[in-house]
Amino acid sequence: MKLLRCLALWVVICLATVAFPATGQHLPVMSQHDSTCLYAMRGWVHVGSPFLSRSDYQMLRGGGTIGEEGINELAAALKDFNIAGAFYDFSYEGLHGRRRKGASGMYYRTLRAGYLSIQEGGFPREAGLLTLYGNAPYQGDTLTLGPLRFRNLQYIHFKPGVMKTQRRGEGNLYMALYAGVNLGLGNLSADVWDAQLYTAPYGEMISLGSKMRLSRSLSNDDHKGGIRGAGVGADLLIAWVGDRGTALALGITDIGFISWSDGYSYKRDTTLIWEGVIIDNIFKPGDSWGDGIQPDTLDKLFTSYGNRGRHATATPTALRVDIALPVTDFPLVLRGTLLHRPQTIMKPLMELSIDYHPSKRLILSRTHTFGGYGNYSTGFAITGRAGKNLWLYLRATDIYRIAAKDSHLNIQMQGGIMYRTQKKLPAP
Amino acid sequence: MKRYPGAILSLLILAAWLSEGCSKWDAPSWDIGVASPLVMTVLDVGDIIPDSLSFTDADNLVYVDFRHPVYSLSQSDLFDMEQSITDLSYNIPFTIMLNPGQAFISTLEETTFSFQDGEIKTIVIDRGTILLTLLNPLQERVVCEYSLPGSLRNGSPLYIKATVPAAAGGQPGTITQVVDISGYTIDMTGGSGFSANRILVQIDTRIDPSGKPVQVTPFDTLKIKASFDELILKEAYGYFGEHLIETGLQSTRLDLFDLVTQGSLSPDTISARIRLRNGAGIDLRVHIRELTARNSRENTSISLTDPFIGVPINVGRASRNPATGVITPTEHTITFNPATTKQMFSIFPDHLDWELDMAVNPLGNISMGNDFISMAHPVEAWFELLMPMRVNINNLTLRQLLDFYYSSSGIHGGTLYLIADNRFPFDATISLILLDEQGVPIDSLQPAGTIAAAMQPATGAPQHTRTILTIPVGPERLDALTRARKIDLEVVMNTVSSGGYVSLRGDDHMKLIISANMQTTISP
Repeated sequence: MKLLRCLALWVVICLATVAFPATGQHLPVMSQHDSTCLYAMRGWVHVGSPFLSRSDYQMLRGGGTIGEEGINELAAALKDFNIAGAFYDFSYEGLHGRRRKGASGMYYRTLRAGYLSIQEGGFPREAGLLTLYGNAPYQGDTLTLGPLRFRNLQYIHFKPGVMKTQRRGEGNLYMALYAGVNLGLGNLSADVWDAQLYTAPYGEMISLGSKMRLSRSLSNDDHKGGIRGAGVGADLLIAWVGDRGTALALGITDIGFISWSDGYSYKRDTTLIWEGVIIDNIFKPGDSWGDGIQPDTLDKLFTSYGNRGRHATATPTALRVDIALPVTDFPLVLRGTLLHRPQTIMKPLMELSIDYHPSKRLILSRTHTFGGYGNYSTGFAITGRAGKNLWLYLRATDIYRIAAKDSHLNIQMQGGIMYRTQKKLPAP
Repeated sequence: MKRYPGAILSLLILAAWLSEGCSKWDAPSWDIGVASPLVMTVLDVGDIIPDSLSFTDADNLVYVDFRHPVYSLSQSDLFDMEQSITDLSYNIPFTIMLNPGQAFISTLEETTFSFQDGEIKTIVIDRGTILLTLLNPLQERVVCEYSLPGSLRNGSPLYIKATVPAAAGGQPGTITQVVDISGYTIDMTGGSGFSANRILVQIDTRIDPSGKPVQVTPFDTLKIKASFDELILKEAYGYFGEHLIETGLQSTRLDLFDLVTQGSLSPDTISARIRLRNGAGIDLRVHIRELTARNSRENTSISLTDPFIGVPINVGRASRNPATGVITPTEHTITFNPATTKQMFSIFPDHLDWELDMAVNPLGNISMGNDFISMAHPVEAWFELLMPMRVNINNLTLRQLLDFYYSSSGIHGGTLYLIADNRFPFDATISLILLDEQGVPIDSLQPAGTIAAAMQPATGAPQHTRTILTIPVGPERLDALTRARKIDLEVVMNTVSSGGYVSLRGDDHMKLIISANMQTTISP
C-alpha cells in the first residue's frame, strides 16, 4: 500500500505544485542603455499541466475528500503521458555603468542574484490510474508505471559579471558574461525509465521491475533548511537593440552544477518482489507534505539501497531567444520569446505578444503562449511607468480564463520593478 | 491614479496572484483499493518432524529415524573412587631444634581403598584433580614433597611440592593445592605389586632452607590430607564386584513430536527396539521393569506389555584383546511388538518412562580379576524407532508465531485472504490469533472452510492444491488488526479418508499467504 502512497504523492506533486518563478527579462533592462545605474527585481512564474483542468486543479488544491466522481473525472483526463510542473525564478540585477572616454558604448559591472526552484513531474496514464484507484482493481494485471520523472530542485545563485554595449549599425550591441556560484538548498530527483508493477489476483504477491535513478540531497533525518551544496554557474547573453525598437537577444543561462555535500544517490535496474512481506517496512508514508516536497516514502529506498555521500546535479540550463519588432506608423510592437530548458520535462515555451503603447506611461500587451508545462494560453501584459526612472511591469497569461473551469491549467506571469539613475554622460 | 494607472493596476493584479499562490495547500484525500501481501509462511515436513530425526528414501517417502540414549552405566555405579588418599597427622615424640633445610618426616604410605568386594588394580584418569591440604604448627615454613610412586604420566610419577606457611597467631599455617591429574595411570596393586585397591604415597618434609632454626615439641602436629576430586576414569581394570544397580523410575525426554501440539497419529508400520550395548568387561543381567510412553501435554500414557518386560536378559561381557587393547562390545537387541508400538506412538509421546534393574557380575569373579571398563565403550541402552511416514493423522496440530504489521491509517474495511498452496496429503483448517506488542491476544480470525489436500495423480508427484479462504474485515475489527504485531497461526491437519493411510513425501509443504484487499483513504 505504501507503494501507492508513494505514487500518489508523486503524482499529486506533479499535478498541483504551485510556485512563483521568473526568468531573465533582459530587454526591458537593457533598453535603458543610457542609464548609468539600474536596479531591477524580477519574478517569473509558470505553473501548468496540459491534462489538468482548472477545476481539477482547484479540487486537488482545495483539499478535503475527493469523491468517486472526482476521481473518475481525473482519471478520464489522463493522457498516455502526463506532465505537470511549476517553475519560479526570483532575481535581482544591478548594473553600474560608465562610458570610457572616446568609447562609443557603455561598460557595466553587474551582479545577478536569485532564487530558482523547479518542481515538475511526468508520469504515464497507468501510474495515474494506480494512484487514483489503488492496485486492487488491477489484480492479475501488470501496470506500466514508467517512464516516471520527478524533480524538486531549489538553489540560489550569485553571479557577478560584465556587460559591454557597443554601437552597431542603427542600434546597440550588448554582450554580457556572468559567472559565479550556485548554492543548493535542496534536491530530490527521480528518473524511472521503465517500471512494471504486477499485482497477483488476491494481492498475495506484488512485483516491481524498474530501471531507476534517484538522488536526494538530504540525509534521511535532516529536513532542516540550509545550504546543502555548492557549485558554479554562468550566464551568457548577446543582444542587439535598434534605435527604432527592433531587438534580438540570445541567451544561455543557468549553466552549471551543484555538488551536494551529503545525500543519497541510487541507481537500480532490478525487480523487487514482495510476497507475504510487510510493504510498510519498505515504504514508509511521509507526513511532511505540509513542510514542502519531502516524500519520505522514497527515503526508505534511499536508505535501503542508496549510496550515501556527495553527488552532483546539473542546473537547468535555459536557451532563450527574444525578438521585438515595432510596427511602422503604429504604436505597436510585436514581441516573441522562445525559452527551452532541455534538462527539464518542460516543453519549449514560446510566447508571442502585441504591445500597444497608448501613452508614454503605459504599455498594454496581448499575449499568446505555447508549450511550457501547458499547451496554449492567452493573456495580457501591462507595463507602467510610475515616475521618471521607475517602471513596473506585469505580464500574465490565462487571466481571463480563470473562471473557465474546463480550461487546462497553464499559468504564466512575470512581474518586475526597475529603477534607474542617470547622469550626464561623456560624449561618445 | 490618473498619473500611474499602469503601475497601480499591475500592483493589484500582482497582489491577487500572490494571495492565491501563497495560500496554504490543503492536502486532498480520496479512497483507493489496496491489494497487498501481509504475511507468508511455509510449513514443511520439518515443521512436523525435526529434520535431524528424519530422512527420505529413494521414493522420497519420509521416515522417522529416532535414536536416543535411555541409560548409560556410570563408573561410579560400579565403584566410588572419590575417597581419601591421605589423611595423616605427624608428631615428633620429643622436643628438638630443627635447622633450615633439615628433613624431619620421610615416609612411604600405602593407602587402601574400599570397593566392597571389588578389587581394582589399575585406573587411567581421563579428567580429575587431587585436593591436597597441609597444616603446619611450626613457627617456620615447611616444605612438603608429596608423590604417588605408582602413578605415571609421560614417564614420570605424580609429584607435588608445597611450601606451607608458618603458624601465626596460634593458628597453624595452612595451604590447599588443587593438582590436575588428568592422564595419569595409577597402579593400585600396592607395594607388593600383587594386591588391589592400594595406592603408594611418598611424603617428605623439611624446614624451609631459607628459614630459621625452629623448635619442635611433641605437641606440634603436622597434618596432611589428600583426596581425589571430580574424577572421571578413562579406563579401569580389576574385579568390579557383584552387585545390583537399581535405577528407580526414570524419565527420558522424547523431542520427536515437539512440533506437534495436539492430535494423534496412526502409522501404517513402525518398528521400535531397545539396543543394549555392553562395552565393559563385566557380565550383566538386565530386568526392564517398566516402559511407558507418555504425552505430558495431554496427560495420556500407554505402557508397554511386551513379553520382555520383567524378564531377565543376560548381556555378556565385552572382550578385550590383551595384545592390542582393542575392545569388542557385546550387543543385545529387544524388539517391540509392532502393534503395541503403534499404540505407544499414536499419542505423540514426549516422555519415555522406564525402570530397570541390572545385576553386575551375577556369577561373581569369573574373569579372575580381569574386568575392565573403558570410557570409549560405555554400557548403555538406546531406544530406536523407525517409522515410515505412511500415516493416518487425526487433528494433528501445528502452531507458528508470525510477525505481523498492518498499521496503515485510513483503512475503512475490506477482506483478508488466506491463500494456501497445499502439497501435504492432508486437509487442514486454520485459525489465527492476533497478538499485540506484549503478546496478549486481541482478536481471533477463523476463516470458514477447509484447505484441500494435495491432488494425487495416478502417476507422478502430487500437485499442490490452492485454496482461498476469505475473512471479512469490518470496522469493528480494524483496531485489532492495526494493533496486532504477531499472529499465532494454528493449523489442524487431518487425513482425508478416515482410517486410510497417506504417505508424507520429503518435499511436501503448505505455503500460506495472508493478503489484504482494503479500502483506504490516502492523503498524500
